[in-house]
Amino acid sequence: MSTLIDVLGAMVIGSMLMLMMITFQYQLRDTADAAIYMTGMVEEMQKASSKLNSIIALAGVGYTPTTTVAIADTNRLKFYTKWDYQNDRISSNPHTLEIKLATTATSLGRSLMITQDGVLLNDLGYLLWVDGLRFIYYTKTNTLTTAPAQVRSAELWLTFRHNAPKAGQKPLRTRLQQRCYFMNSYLQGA
Amino acid sequence: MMNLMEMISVLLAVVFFTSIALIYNRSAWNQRERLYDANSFVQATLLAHTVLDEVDAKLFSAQIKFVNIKNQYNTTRSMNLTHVGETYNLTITAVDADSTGVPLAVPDPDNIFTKVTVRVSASAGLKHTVSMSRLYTKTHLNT
Repeated sequence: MSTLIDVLGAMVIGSMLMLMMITFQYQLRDTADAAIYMTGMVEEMQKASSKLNSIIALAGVGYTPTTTVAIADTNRLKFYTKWDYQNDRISSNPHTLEIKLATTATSLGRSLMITQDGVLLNDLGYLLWVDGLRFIYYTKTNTLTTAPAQVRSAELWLTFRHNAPKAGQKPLRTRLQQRCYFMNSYLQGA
Repeated sequence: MMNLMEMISVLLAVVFFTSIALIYNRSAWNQRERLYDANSFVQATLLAHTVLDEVDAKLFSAQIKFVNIKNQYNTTRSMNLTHVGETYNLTITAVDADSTGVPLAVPDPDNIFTKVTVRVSASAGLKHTVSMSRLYTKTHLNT
């Protein structure tokens, strides 16, 4: 009888330990999957932030600082410039550039729409997984403003979202906060 | 009743399985920390760039002069990022340097290069301090 109890006890403990090991294996696999997904996402975050910074730096080429920004809303920024982003060169024609988030979401998040004269820029299709975008504007003296004529830098609040590796899990989300200076305006004395 | 050998075997088994559990747990935790660190690293580089861009912007617009970089950018800043939910600490240093960015051992009154270095650390997330530097040159526009 005692031998039977010993064997049964050993089986129960053994099963629990096996279960524990299997659970750990699954947890480790989930974390590894998340790591793989996140690696791509971090790369996207770097691309998006550097691209946005370089775009905003060239705002107002050929314009005075007070006439550079056309619209300074919390969800979109529109400015004038004589830099042709589509062909990556200075232009004699005036252009308007607008940065905003698409209204519809896809499985890859919401597209960050960067349009020149109302047409999407060709080479910016790789800014994926952006889920939230907010602009906060500052004057030359670093105070908050909403007046387009006074805007000299913009703080961007970016939220990125990526579907979770396993269906049914919460999506992976990361956030970035960056300040972009209207360098061309500063070059003209701000 | 267990004899001594059985008791020792059970104890060894407990130690063995606990060790394995801890190793697995630590591995999973390490991976999560690395994810957190990668995200914080990107944010830290952006903060460093922001300070370096700020120096450029102020020099371009003559809000500061080249000689004043060292006065104004030997400082610390604590940045509470509302959107990100983290606080980052910035240590900013500005020194006279040669054209390759090596700090000058002896001050030179005719020096035309200043190197600004931003070191970013965080109370959580960021495992190692992020350091970025930029070399600023004296020109007729910023004197």
